[in-house]
Amino acid sequence: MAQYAKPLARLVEELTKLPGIGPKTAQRLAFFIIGGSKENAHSLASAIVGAKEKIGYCSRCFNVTDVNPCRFCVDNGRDSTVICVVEEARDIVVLERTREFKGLYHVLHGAISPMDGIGPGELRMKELMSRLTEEISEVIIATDPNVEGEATAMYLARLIKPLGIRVTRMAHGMPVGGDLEYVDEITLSKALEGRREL
Amino acid sequence: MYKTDGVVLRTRNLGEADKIVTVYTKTKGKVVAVARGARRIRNRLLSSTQMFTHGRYLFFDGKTLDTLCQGEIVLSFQPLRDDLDKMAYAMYLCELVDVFVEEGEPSPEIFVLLINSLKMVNEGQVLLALRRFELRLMKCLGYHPEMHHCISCGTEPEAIIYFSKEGGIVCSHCKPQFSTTHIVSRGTWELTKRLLDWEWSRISILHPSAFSLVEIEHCMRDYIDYRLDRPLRSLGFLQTLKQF
Ligand SMILES: [Zn+2]
Ligand SMILES: [Zn+2]
Repeated sequence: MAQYAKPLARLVEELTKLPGIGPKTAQRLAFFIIGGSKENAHSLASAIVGAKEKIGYCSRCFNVTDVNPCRFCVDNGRDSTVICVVEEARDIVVLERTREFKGLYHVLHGAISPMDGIGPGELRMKELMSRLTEEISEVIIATDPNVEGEATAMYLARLIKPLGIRVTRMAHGMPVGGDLEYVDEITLSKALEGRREL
Repeated sequence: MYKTDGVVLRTRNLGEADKIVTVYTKTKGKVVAVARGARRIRNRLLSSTQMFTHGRYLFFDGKTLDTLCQGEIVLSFQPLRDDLDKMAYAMYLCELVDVFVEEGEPSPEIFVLLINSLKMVNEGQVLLALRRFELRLMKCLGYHPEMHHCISCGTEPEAIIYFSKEGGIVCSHCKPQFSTTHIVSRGTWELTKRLLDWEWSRISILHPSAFSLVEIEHCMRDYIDYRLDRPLRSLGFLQTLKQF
């Protein structure tokens, strides 16, 4: 990066570390920041530092939060007998957008991936198990519908079912608004398996 | 550009939406390739690049990595992903191929061995599939365990047979020279020779005892570890599942 002035090269280098940002995008972002006002640059920098310093994990559900316990865990309006298990905190944001689920969450921070050295011990599973008191009537497993997510779901079911708690898995559905002939055969057979009465 | 049948041994995430897939192909051996967009919900590569899938794949040659650009499922092996135990066993088979085989060393024999073994696990004949796979894979790789003569003195074994982690049987006279050995019963000895030499069509008539399969498991575990320089990750996972 000899063609850049040193401070600029450093900014480009830092931006490149972000997910989904290649050298070209990093360069564009860097020039945008340099070209903007000093206030904007300060505001961006302090937002980054502020978020990093004030945000931590909820000690109950391991969601990202600025207060502990997080707002879901202390909300009396939510159903505290149901826990929905997700891989990442960002999955909560997506589920909340549906406005369908009113229970509590638990973030595992990943999924079982033996070939990458991630086993149950690397995830927040023990913490989930310690939340499964008599009050809990159902655990909904909303891990990703890929091999790692399925492995995690099956593993959790083995742990939780002996406690007499209902364990459910989100259905594998057909993409809404899609065209049947473009759906792959595995999704299709899963959707057939999970069909419902009309 | 090349088109070949293959089995997906392993996948890793790359960036936001891509995958790096390790495919054991029929004609090119092990191939590591990028599957662009293969994690997007409506991508055509989504289901054909899942672990264990047997598919017909189209690759483009690249400078560092090839690109997997089309995939058509031949056998989805979905039950292997729907059952935690089968999944762990299938991962073990795939990991063995991945760690022992280098890129660019095709072996149609290993390809057929892998497909047939996954089918057997799929159908629930797990332990026989695993033991046969371990023995035959070693044979295909040129690490054929010596089952006829003592690997130290070359005599045919008499009453008691031992198996050394160095890859063959040892007689009772030579046993003290070997650090790790397992005693092998007569029945296990016969079974091992059949698993090494018999073709698939004949394997189905075998009804081995659980005891013999365990004896072979111990022998092969030591032998495989002796040939490898690092522990197998799938074994750790299989161990975790034993608690249930
Ligand atoms: Zn919380
Ligand atoms: Zn000897």
